[in-house]
Amino acid sequence: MARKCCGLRAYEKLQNLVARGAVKKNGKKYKGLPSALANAIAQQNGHLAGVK
Amino acid sequence: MLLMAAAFMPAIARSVDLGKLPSPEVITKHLSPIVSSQRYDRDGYVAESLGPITLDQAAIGLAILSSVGTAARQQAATGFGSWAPSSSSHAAASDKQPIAHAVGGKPAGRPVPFRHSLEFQPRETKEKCCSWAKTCYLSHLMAILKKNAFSRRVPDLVTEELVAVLSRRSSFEFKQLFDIVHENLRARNAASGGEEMLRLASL
Repeated sequence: MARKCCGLRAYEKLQNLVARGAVKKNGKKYKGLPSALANAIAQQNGHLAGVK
Repeated sequence: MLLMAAAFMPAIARSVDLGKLPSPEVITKHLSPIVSSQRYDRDGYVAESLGPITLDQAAIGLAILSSVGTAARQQAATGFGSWAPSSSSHAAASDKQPIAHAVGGKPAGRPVPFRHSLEFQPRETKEKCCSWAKTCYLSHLMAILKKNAFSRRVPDLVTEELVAVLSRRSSFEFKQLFDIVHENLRARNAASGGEEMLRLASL
């Protein structure tokens, strides 16, 4: 049950990353774009874009 | 002291005419050093001081002045923070933008809308302009960070793990990806959902 819930949450987060352009979806395969992923995780942690 | 205050707060010159103050030589003629002594006397403790004002009065006066100065500084900083977002709403797009805006972006002779209406002439050194711009920019950042400090946000561990796995230079199907992510979350003891599950349960 917990694993299923975690799967749903992970799928939702993955689709968010795809929508934000941080992950590229090719058929059933997902590939991360490192720079966009770094930006996405920084924003999620409350950092400002472009501020070191 | 008033002259020093005027150097830090130009606004004080509007309400106090500093030219009317007596010269330091005239004032110092009436000042003498403060001498203080402390001793035990029977069951008590006697503290004496001699001078134009007592040591306690001097300490209380200094404390009041420093608290007033601190309050004025904080007010000034808040003023910068509240001004910055309205005039440069696009400032967050780039970290160099606000500085460039203040240094080169202003036409000649036009006042920069800082709190004290400082007027930057085009012939002024760039260093000075930069320092004010940085001050303003830092105040802007502080205002933003202060706002974020009160938000109640749960760390998104699932996204963190997803990003960590996807940052490797290979592509994954969702099932593959989830297996790795779930293993990592279990290793961190974060696979059960924690606060997010509590939030969902309350719905």
